[in-house]
Amino acid sequence: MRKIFLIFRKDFLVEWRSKQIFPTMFVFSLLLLLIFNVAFEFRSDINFRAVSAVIWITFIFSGLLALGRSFSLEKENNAFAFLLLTPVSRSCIYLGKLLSNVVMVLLSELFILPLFLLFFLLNAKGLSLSLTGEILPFLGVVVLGTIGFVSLGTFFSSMALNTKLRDMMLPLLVFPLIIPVVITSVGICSSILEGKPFGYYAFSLQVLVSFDIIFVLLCSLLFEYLIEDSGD
Amino acid sequence: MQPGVLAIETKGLEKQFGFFPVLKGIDLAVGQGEFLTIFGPNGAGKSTLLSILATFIKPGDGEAFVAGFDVSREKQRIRKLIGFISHNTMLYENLTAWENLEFIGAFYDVPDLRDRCSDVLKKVDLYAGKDVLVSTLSFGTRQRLAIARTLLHDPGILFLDEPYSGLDYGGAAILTSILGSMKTDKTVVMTTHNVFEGLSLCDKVAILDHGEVVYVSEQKPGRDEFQDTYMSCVRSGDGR
Repeated sequence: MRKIFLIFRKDFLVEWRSKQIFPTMFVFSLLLLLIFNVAFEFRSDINFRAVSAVIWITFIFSGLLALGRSFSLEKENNAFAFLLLTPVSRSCIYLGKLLSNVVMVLLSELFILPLFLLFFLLNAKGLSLSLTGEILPFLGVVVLGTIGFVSLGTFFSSMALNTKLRDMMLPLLVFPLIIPVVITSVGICSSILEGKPFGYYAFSLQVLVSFDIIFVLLCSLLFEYLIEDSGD
Repeated sequence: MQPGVLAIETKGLEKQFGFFPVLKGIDLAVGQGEFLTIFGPNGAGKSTLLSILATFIKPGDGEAFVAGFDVSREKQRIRKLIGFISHNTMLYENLTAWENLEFIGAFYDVPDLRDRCSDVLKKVDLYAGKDVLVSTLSFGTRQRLAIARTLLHDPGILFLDEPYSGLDYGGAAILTSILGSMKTDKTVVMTTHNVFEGLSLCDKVAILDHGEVVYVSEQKPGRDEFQDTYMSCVRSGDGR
């Protein structure tokens, strides 16, 4: 656990000093929300499913931006190669990178959510936001959905690291695989905004948690094979 | 490392990238405490050989052992015993010298890590600049920091991949002095093009050309004599 935290702390220190990922993510998300808001003609009577899709598209696009950059920073000066030379398990490296990516993406989402509220939900008809009824469950789904797509994104961004077209490769590899997470997250978020009872989306929530567990376990187990040289 | 075990041993080691053979049956043996310098032109396979021994990349056919451990199957045990210095310093630019050492040292479970970081920084004369960001350091200073980082866990075997590349005269002199001080108790395998630097510290030499060992001397040859041998061995090999 301590070694996972060390990788997380190092990533945060590097980001704090370089300020490359977080501002880019925030500005990109802000622009996306603005574009969607203009496209929806500033209306407040949009259906909640569409609104939920908007926020998840924003999260995923800005999140992938961060994930691509996260391993690019490791590649600079080949520092990642030296980390691989240490006797630390590859799963530990993956989990450390995953933790820092999840926290980084969640932090940016924390800044995006008030804007989302302002642009799409403030005057929405039939919406009553209460802390326990909507806000906390919504934030819970954001956390779970983020773990789901970041776990795959972290895995594939390390793979795309050594390809010449890495900026193009990452979305191509990740998008098809995160479809189940996106569909489930959008469905649960729209149910919460529509004020449906917990029982209505409990099964979807279980599915989302299962995706997270499977993705994190599978990726941490396969990470070693992904970053090892193939031999010939 | 167990007494009597060869520090490094390769038997018919081969490696190819795609259909391109890079190593073609390398046989090498380096005893404990020996300093082997491997010379060779660009593309000879020197860095690939060191990368295999340092467990960066998988070997192809043949066998390779470091401290008696198989590089294919016992990577983690090997990683605890070796250090690697390259012309690429592999440092985190946005961390300070101290943070770089502390970060890597923790993965080797170095006891009394803070004291050890101070010791190795003093050894390479960098303690005063320990809180300086790596991005602001000169190449020579980074290379000294990379050496300090490699010494953190006191490895018994050192792989040096063209460590003199990019260093000015002063930087090269400092590196030679540090390597000289380590020579007594460590096994070192160094690759280089530079005959002068390469011969100054070694106990034995080998020349690699087009993926094959074309010359081995168990004793350090004289510089002039070796220069002629080197030129004749690699004359036909203009690199790839």
